Amino acid sequence: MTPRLPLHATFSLLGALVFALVVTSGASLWLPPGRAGIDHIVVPIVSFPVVWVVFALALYAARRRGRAWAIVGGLTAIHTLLIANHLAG
Amino acid sequence: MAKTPERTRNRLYLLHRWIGLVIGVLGTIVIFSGTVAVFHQELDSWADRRPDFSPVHALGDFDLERAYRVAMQGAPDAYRHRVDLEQELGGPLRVVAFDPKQPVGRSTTLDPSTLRILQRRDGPRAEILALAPRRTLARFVLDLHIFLLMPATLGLFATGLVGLGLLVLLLTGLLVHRPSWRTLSRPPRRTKRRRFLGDLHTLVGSWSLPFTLVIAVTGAFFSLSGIVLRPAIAVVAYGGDHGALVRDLVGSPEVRESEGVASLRPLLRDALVRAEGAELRRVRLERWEQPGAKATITLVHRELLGEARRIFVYDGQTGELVGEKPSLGARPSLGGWLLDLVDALHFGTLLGPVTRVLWFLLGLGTCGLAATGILIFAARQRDEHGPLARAMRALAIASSAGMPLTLALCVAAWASWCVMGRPDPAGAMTGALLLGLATSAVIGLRYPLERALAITLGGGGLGLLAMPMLAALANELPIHAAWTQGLGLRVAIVDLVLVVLGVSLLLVARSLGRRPGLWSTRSGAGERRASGLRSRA
Repeated sequence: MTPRLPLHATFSLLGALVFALVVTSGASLWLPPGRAGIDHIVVPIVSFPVVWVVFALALYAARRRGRAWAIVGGLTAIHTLLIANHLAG
Repeated sequence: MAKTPERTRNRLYLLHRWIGLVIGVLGTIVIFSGTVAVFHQELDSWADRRPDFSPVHALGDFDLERAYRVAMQGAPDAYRHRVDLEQELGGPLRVVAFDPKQPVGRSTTLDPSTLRILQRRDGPRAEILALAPRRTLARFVLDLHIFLLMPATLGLFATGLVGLGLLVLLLTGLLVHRPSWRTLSRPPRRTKRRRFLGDLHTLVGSWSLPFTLVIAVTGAFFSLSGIVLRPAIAVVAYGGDHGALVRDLVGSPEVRESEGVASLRPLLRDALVRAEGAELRRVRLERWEQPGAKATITLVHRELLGEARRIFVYDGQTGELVGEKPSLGARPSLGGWLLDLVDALHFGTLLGPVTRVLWFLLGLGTCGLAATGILIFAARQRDEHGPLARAMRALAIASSAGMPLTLALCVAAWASWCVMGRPDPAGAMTGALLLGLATSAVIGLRYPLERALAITLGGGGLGLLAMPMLAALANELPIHAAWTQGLGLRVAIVDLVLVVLGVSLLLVARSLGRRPGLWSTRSGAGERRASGLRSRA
């Protein structure tokens, strides 16, 4: 009988979606715009799938999951603060 | 490759198995339709054998100004806000204009040589953009691939998740199996079913890994960028002004408002001289005959490997060249280059026909991954002949060997609708898709694995062989006449490919039908003995 997927797998995958979205959106604030003023839009969007899968696998399958959650959570927190600061003017 | 710790490896294996079960069938439909869609332009030419029209860039006396006037005669002024003039390979000149404030517009189709109006439609957007029935086949394949035939946003979300799921499968598979050169160069072992399927799954997955990785990343990007990622960045970096973000991405230079209206004929001539040997793809007129008017002319150089785009922007008042721009952004940049690369990688146009053919073959090979994965799951069940294992085998048949049969049924539905003169075969093709998948699943439930594969592959082979006749029927042409009509060479090549694939499937089906089992006689005989014992009990 195939073991069920543990609940924390779903949390990791869905959580990684939210974290990756915050980090890539926030990255548009510190990435240089480039010669055409679009690099800060295109680079985060193109890299989103890779960022997500790295976060998801780290959160779910890392040997030290607590450390993985701390790192990913920390990155997300920093970008959340960046976004909040930017939106607040 | 470094060893993955055992506990991590077990977690990854569990994730690989469950994600594979959840997205296996959907993922195969997306990949199979994407494989066919690599040649969607050729499919369109094959399906709609209209008379060939001369390309605009080859007509020395082509008058773009007159074409615009003929197309826009009597049209409301609001339609001049944005007018697109486009010509596909071998097709007529199509002029489309919309009212920016209401969902209405005009579509005019012209013979580029004589500027005779072939068709004009005024009305709601959906109506004027509706395709003729014969042109819906390629569109159906694209809609299946991009949206899984669901409403736009939901469909893009679904295919985006399929892309992300595929990415997880690739990386977990790589970390779990850690393929070495020894496993990559060894053919699948035929001692036991589970071992054979496992080896085949690992072999195909490993060899196709670079391709599948590219498709998964770029596919997820295309699906999610418009509905999730761009809106998120618009909120964060542009204060919610999505229009400003799009303007930066497009990067079209603004034109100063002044007096005068430029003539279109010299603009096109200038662009064709600057990009010598290029073909016209599109002319976009913005705020034409109004202050701030602009013309953007897109030309394409078809090269041996790939194609290069040239985009010229002209002041619509003075006729002066404002500048040349890349496809994204106002000037060449990392972001523009990255997006061009993503485009070329996903659609297989990086090295022109070479990568398109390679993508087609690799796509077909990748379609078998989900099936072998599901069959491994079925083979691992405690009761290999129980309802769950049988249902899994049925799914595996439907998502692999059932695909060619399903495609042939869709083409048959499309051809029937065209012959009957009914509009919009999309509904009939959707019904045929479901029928094909259901029929393959029922065959998978009813018969042992090898026999089910033989029946569905045989049916698919016959279906592919029938497709050239179905397309000729849909165009009301004898099959041999079709090769001289329209883009005859393209049609003949597609017919030939279908015949070769059809015969190949029939040969494989015959081979499967003759063998007692794909693996050792001992295990195949064991299965028959077990089923014999059960039936006697």
